[in-house]
Amino acid sequence: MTRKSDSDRLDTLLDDVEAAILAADDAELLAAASAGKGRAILSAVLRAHRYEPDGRRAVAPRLRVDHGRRSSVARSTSSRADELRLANARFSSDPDPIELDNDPDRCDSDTE
Amino acid sequence: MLTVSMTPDSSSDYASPADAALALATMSAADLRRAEMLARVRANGVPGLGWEDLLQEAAARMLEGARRWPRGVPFIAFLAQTMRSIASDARRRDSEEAGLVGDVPSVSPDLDGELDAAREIGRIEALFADDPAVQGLIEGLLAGETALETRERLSLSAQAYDAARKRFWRGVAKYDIKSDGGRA
Repeated sequence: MTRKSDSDRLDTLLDDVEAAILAADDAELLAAASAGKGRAILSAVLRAHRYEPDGRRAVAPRLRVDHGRRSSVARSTSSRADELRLANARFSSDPDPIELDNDPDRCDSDTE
Repeated sequence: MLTVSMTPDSSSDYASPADAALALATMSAADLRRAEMLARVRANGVPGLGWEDLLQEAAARMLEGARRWPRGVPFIAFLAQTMRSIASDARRRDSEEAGLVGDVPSVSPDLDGELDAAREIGRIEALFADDPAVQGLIEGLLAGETALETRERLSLSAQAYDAARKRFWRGVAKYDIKSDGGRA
């Protein structure tokens, strides 16, 4: 029989510890060690991946278009096509709606 | 234990990253303690890897979809498996890098990894230098004994064996080489 490598031997020990931790009673675990930074670490990872602390997906900032003036943030976070669609929606009663990919300059002049 | 729920994914065999996010956010206090212990246990075997880094990396990979949660597997077991895999990869990478002299592989690229593993086993054994029952238990684990074989060899009752095993995992789980002035 060949001797296991030290890496395998270490894995054997750590796997046994892992199995014991997974199988331990909740009360026993809570008594065995004080809380660490786990919650804070997971919250930070969730935020970094655009999840709320309760695990819900964070809602992306919505583009707001005001007739006459738009913020630089709205401009930087919206695509040209989105701007045109929103402008069209706002002026849906316009007898001559803006055509997408047709006359972008006209959109600017109508909405600003 | 929390098992995979419910948001449909492209593959019905796995939960979505959104399910993993929900599970991470709503872990019970006990499971969170389990996760911290398991991260500490696995990180101790890898030079330069902190337990916080390991937990963070595991969570990030789940949320990115790089590690997918199989349906029916308890979330904490999935998290444990993810950290085990990351730690194992890191240990292998570490030994491969240590095995390079310049850009040339050394004759024994695995030697450093084996030395690290041997040192780590020695440190774990040293934690229980005053506890013959745990020493015997470790010996039995490394020899591939069953629990019954170890109990018979050490003349331990079932209760005494369980108590020794509890001291073993608690000791290893609390042990943090990075805080003890160890190699990392």
